[in-house]
Amino acid sequence: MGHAKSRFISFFGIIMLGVMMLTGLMSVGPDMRRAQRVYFEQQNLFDLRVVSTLGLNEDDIEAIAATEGVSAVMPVKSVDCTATIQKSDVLTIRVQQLPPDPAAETEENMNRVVLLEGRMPEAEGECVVAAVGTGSAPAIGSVLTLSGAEDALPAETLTVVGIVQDPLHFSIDSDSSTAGTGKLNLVVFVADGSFTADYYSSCYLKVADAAQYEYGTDQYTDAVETVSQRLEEISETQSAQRREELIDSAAAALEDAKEEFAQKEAEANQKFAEAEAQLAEAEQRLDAALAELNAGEAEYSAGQAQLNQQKNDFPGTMSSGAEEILNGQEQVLDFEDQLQQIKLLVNLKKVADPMLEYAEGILENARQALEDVEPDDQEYTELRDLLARAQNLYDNTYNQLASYQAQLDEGKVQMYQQGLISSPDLSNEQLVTEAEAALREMKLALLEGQLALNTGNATAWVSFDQAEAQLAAARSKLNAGWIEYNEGAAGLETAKEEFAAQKQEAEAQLAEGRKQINDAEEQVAKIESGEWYVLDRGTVTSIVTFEQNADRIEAIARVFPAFFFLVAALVATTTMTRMVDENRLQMGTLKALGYSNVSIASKYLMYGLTASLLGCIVGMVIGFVALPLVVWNAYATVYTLPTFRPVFYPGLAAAGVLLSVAVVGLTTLAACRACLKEKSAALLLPRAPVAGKRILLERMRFIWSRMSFTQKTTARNMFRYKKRFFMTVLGVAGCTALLLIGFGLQDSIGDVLDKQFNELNHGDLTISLSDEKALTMEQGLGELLNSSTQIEHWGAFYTRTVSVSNADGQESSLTLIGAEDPEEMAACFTLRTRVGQEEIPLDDSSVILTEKTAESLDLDVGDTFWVQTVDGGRLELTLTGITENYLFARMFVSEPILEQIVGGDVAWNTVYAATTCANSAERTSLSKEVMACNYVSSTSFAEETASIFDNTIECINYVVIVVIACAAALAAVVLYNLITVNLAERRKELATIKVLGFYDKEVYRYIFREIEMLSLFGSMAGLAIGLPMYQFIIRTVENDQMMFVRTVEPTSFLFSVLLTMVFTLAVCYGMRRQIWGISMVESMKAPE
Amino acid sequence: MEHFVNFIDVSKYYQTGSVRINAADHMNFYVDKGEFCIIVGPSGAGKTTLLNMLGGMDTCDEGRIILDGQEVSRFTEKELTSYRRYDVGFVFQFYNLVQNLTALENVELASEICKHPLDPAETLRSVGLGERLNNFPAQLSGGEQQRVSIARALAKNPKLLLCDEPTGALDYKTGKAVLALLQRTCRETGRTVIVITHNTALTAMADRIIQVRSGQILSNEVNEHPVPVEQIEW
Repeated sequence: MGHAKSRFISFFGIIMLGVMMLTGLMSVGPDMRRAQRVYFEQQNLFDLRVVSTLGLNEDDIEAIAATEGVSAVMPVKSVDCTATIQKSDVLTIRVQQLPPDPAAETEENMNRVVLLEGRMPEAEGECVVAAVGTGSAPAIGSVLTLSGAEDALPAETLTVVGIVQDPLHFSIDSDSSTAGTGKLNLVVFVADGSFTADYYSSCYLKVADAAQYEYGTDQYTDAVETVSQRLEEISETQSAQRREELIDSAAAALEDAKEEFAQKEAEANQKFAEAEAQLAEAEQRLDAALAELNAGEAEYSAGQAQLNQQKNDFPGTMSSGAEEILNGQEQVLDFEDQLQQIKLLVNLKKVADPMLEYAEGILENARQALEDVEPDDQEYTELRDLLARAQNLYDNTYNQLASYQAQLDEGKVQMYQQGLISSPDLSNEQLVTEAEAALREMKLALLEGQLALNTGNATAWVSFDQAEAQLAAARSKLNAGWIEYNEGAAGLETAKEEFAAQKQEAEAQLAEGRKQINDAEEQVAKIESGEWYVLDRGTVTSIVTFEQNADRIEAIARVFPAFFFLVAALVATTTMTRMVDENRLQMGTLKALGYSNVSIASKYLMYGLTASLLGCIVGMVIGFVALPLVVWNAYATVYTLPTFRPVFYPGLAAAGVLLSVAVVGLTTLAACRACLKEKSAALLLPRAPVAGKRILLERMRFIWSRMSFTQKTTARNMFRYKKRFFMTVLGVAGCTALLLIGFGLQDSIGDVLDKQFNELNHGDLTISLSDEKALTMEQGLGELLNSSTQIEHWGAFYTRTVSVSNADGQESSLTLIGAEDPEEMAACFTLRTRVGQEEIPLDDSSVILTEKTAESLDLDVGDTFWVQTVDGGRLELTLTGITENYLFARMFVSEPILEQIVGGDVAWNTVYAATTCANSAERTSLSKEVMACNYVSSTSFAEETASIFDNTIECINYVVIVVIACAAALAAVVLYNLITVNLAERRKELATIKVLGFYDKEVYRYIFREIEMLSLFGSMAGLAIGLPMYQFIIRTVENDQMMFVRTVEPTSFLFSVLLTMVFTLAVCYGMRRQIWGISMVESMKAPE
Repeated sequence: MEHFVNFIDVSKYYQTGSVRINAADHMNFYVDKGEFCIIVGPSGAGKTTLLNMLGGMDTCDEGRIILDGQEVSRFTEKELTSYRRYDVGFVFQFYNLVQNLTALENVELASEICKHPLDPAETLRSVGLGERLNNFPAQLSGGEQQRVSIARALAKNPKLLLCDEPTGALDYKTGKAVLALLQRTCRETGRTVIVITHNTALTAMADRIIQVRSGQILSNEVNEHPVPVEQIEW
């Protein structure tokens, strides 16, 4: 019973796995392509798109529509610009006009958007949005404020009324834009009639013959290519016409602009001069005012000082005046005294003179008398005494009088000197008279003096007050002067600032004007190089990456199912052989009873087929439904295709069933045949056990003798059953190979980014120029790049898509790259061989191809090949190097060779720069700065390219998980089968060793050591077969633009083996109960 | 003195649906050390059940089984394994040799895990297979295979040698030779040997004869004059 169950599980499991892998992996790719196809049909996706650098006018559209093979056209007006939502970051958007009826089911209505939320725009100023890249769409009701779209679109703001899916952006891959950061954030659709532009930016069209073919088929491509060529043919004429139309107006506009600019510039310069003169004058005036003020200030100070001095002096003057008057009064008083005295003296003299005369007389008399008198007479004596006395008196009086006179004379002289009297010889009377007059005069003078003094005092104070008032007035005037001055100075400052600001503004305006002129020149230049581009779906990033992913899945689908079926065959063989062996006796009995071989075999066949058919059904359910859903679940993070659903492919299902029936049927028949060949008598005997045999290892004495007993047993057991050995080794090898492929894919694709962008390419910023002038013009890109601190180094390059061909005529398209400066070439690109990592030298004859191209054209160094030159000719080149490269197909050439290809001077059209930008914010701002320069048509950062791959890597990781799960399942089924077969066959042996006293652990090891060793062998074998399988897949997955790292990391080898061993141990662990369940009584039984 | 092997009231039941079968029904017997004991009885008498319980491959439901003073009936699963490993040597009816191992390796398989094993090659030589050490079982005759089986049991140096119908798959002559080997081993090494057989003729060579029928011990008697196996005819 137990045997039957496990056998059934083995059959069922392996067939289920095989069928699951077959149907699942094989249907994912078609499922994905179908989803895309249906989506394209539903949304009526364009076949071709015509874009012109000049825009397309009605004539062009008519010409396109009239082209043979074009069944419908949809001209589209759109503009790339920037927008903000409230105060959010600046978004780079593309505003596109919807057809009049966006839902129309007409062929003309292409690339129909899918309304996800809200409604379609009806009025002007309304829009629906579709997010591009990894961002999300703004919510309904958001208002977009546009800038840079004025020429084409009158609306300044757009209100989001709905969210749609743009069928041209159904993945999270980014798309480029000519505006803002150069990386599109949103596509904004507005209602018909919102645009004022009179030209179309692109024209989508359907190819009549293409509709009947599936996208991606050769027929489709051919049909589209035919029409594309026809369009290219009319392109030149139409472009020329369009140019004619545009060139006049543009030239005129340029002329106007130039004139206007010149005028404005002159005006501005004049204004500047005037303003500057005015300012100078004002300054001068101000300086003068300052000088004046300073003088006033000095004067004021002096006045102040004088006044102070006067005020200080004033009390002195007054007191001296008063003193003078006092003196005068004293003098008058003195003089009065003197006059009194004089009067007295005069009067005295008047009195005394007669008395003196009388006395003189008396004296005379007396003397005479005396003489008359005898000297001895008393009388004489008396007389003499009297005389003496009288003489004395007289002398006294005389002297007195003389002194009076002297005094008077003295007074006279004095008075004369004083001018009081007219002469010093005045008589006394005259003197008195004159003195009195003088006194009067003096008194008068004194009075006058008094008066004068009083008056003077009053006057002085008045004048002080006046002076102070004057000073105060002067002060306030000065203050006013200062205020005025300061105001003036401030005014001047303001005026200066104003002037500076105005000048700056004016200069900015001028710069703007200059830029406008440059723009206009650029436009004219563009007009001159006008060109049509006829683009197919292969230019839509979403479609391209989707195709690549579908290719990848299909590549994996090509390898794995076959492998699983091989293992299934081995599992079926061992299981069926074992089953037949176990039923020998029964078969023998049946045969002996007369049953035919066919009827006996059919029983086993039925058994095997029932199990495998059941396996088929379950496998198909998982394969057709679950596996595609699981894989799609991974891709759904990148692609939004609502049309995806698992599809049942009857052909694939039939193939799965037939393959399983064939595998199980054939192995069953083979096993039965081996048995039924024997005579029924032989069948009735138990089958001789497979004899023990010496194995090769035993011949190697030195190893064998070193092995422990149990190791020897294990070794011999392992090689005992060849079929089982191969089944296990192959099954486990498959598991390891699957893991190796899974991990390898991760390594390869993950390393591509790292190697390409870190080791090989060093310029992370690529700038496309519409004209070389960008680098040399004033305020142009060249200056920006030189001055920016974020640019480490940069160089001018020439890039162009060219086609190269080998001697067999095989063609390949690639990007030609030549550098202005060979050193920049070496700085931006590491050119080295992949094997050996040898540097490839650059010289004048250098022609270096990227590895994948060289490989696909089968070129070696030294081979010659041809490149299409710009003028359409063919140039023979000799390959000088093949460089390691993973993304993009490129050819690096020296300048002399580039000149040959270009046919003359090279117009550098690309800049590669290494930046220090560490995050997306820095990149965005640098990108914006660069995009603002003239003649810059686009910028891109390596990181953006890298992010596309990040998405791919995520998906690959997911697929790897699925692969690991499958690997685990494979290992589990194979090991389960091996273990059950082993256990069934060796029950007695195991029971015996149990009886011998082996502990459970020892019994476990006794049997599982073999399985572990087999697993290890299988793992090693898996590495050996996994590597070429991995390389096959990698090569299948690669395309012209992409080569994967073809080496697997050592850790991946290690992990593959480790994980396999983990699976093995897990299965063994799960099966250990079965061993413990073996009863020792088995050992007593007779051999089967 | 304690008996070497002692079954005291040992019972074993098998429940099949509602029917209870008494495979061992209150068995009581003993065997002394160094005896060559034959347990005899017809098919289905309970011989194998007895052997399984004595050999530590099965447990009894009631009663006590004692070997050399140890109460085997109270052993845990693990102790039973150790008991089989160190104390008991088995000789199977169908030899149970590992096909993928040579004669020597088959003996080594057992001796590897023992504490005091005998030398495997020496043991094989002692059973007369010195020339066939490196032959695989498929290259040996039935008798030779059984001798390898005996050598394997002996090499473990067990206290007790249990033989389950050792001659069952052998022809008469070879069977005799094998029995002779067992008897000789018992005599020469003093090892207790218990042979289970349905062939009553063999009882003549035993020191002790235990008869079993329907799960019960019919008799347990000592044969005072055992004859060499060569003299027995059946």
